[in-house]
Amino acid sequence: MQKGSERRIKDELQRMPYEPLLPVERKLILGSLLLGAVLLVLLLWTTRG
Amino acid sequence: MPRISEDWLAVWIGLLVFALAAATMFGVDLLGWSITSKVWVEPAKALAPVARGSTVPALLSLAGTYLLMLALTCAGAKCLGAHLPRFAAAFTALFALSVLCSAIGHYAYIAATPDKFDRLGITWSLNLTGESGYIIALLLGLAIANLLPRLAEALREAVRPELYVKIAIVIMGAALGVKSAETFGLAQSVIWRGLCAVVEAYLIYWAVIYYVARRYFRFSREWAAPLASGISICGVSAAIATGAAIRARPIVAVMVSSLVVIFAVIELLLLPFLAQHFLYEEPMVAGAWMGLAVKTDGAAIPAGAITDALIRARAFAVSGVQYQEGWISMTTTTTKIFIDVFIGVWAFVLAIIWTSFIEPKPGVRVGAAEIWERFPKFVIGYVLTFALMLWWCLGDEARIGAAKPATEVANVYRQLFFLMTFLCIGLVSDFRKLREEGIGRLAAVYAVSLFGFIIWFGLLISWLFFAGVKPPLASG
Repeated sequence: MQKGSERRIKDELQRMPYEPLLPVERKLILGSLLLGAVLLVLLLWTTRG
Repeated sequence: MPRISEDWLAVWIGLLVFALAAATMFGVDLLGWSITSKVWVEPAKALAPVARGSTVPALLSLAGTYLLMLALTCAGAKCLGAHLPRFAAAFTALFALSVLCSAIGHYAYIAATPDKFDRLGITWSLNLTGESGYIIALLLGLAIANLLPRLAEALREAVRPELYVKIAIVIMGAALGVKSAETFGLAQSVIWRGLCAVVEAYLIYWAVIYYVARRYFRFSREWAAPLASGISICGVSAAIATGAAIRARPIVAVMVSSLVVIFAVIELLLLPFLAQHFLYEEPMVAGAWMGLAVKTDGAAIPAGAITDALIRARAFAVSGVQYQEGWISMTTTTTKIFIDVFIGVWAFVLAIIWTSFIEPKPGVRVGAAEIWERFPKFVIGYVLTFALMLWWCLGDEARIGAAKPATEVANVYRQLFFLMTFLCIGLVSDFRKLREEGIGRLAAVYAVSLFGFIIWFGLLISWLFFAGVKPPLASG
């Protein structure tokens, strides 16, 4: 049963259709990076200041 | 059916070992007879009781330590619903192999640092310290898993690396608490900087890996999110928490987790030695780097312990600087514990985004209780032992002297559980998986992200927050 399920998953991985990035995913990625960059400056300033 | 989760079990076993060891502080030596490895030239001196001046014969000490650990883990295994006779037999074999690896790792020509050469009557050594026993255990586990799969299968019932490492982490909290009391200002700084580094890693790691997995490797959202968490945050637990948060099928997290362990082994064999050679002048950077780059608790925290020993040995050999033991480990542990604590919060955030915007499902609501549900409970045990010893030692400086022998005794069990963790990680790492059809794409995104970005960005973040911070010197 488990072997069969793994086989199906491997097939799925090989034939996975492309799902284009949604605008909300772009926002999540950009928002996370932006917040990371801003916090990096702030945290470095508080740590080293 | 398990009657307790592995996390809570680790808390109780860890606290029990801590309590037995802590009795030493009040003049009751309950565990001083426990066996520990010593750097040796004559095999007869490889193992001895941990308490100085103990007259207990080494064999009796070894038997006692084995029986105590067997009793603790068998009680735990029963609560987890394991098959007890099979568990006891497999545990016995794992314990014996772990002690053997530790003893080999303490062979003077492998382990001795230059300051011990005269006493041991040797003129050279690989200078790898006794922690090389962990690497030997890992290699032995790998050899068994990949060359003797039947033996690996026979040991399976006791192969529980996550349980062993969590017990070790709870026990380790005590020693780090005492250390923090000695240099409280530095400990506060390590905790703050570790928190900063983790916040950065979460926000930047995850977003980049998710983008790479979606855009360049064309994974669906269901695969990309657990994959991003597994690669970027904390391996197995993060992949499982994220998979559950976005309502992915359980098999997705299982497939990702199987890769996490394999890549953690590669990191374990590479990063501590890279750190030893290139970061021995920045020990705390190395410690944070292990926490940020090596995935899963089972690999990361012992990697910190190995790096601690290797860097101190190299710094002493090259510059004659003797750093206090444990600060590099503490930096790794602090970073990793923060990563673990935030998994629940991150999974909660992703669950809200997924159920509200990406794949909205009518009637499905995400409650804040999910944060607690995914909170790694063993962290409570670590915080308890850490805070108790810190509070006790800060109350009166003289107590630090009494607390140290207690943490040395507890350390015996921390090391044994670490050894068993390494052996078990090796035993569950089946490299043949990488050759299987379909897995290649998962492995490719993992390898590209880990070796192309995570490791180096983790190093940069560690450098930014920890450069210039040094552990106290051992003498003075």
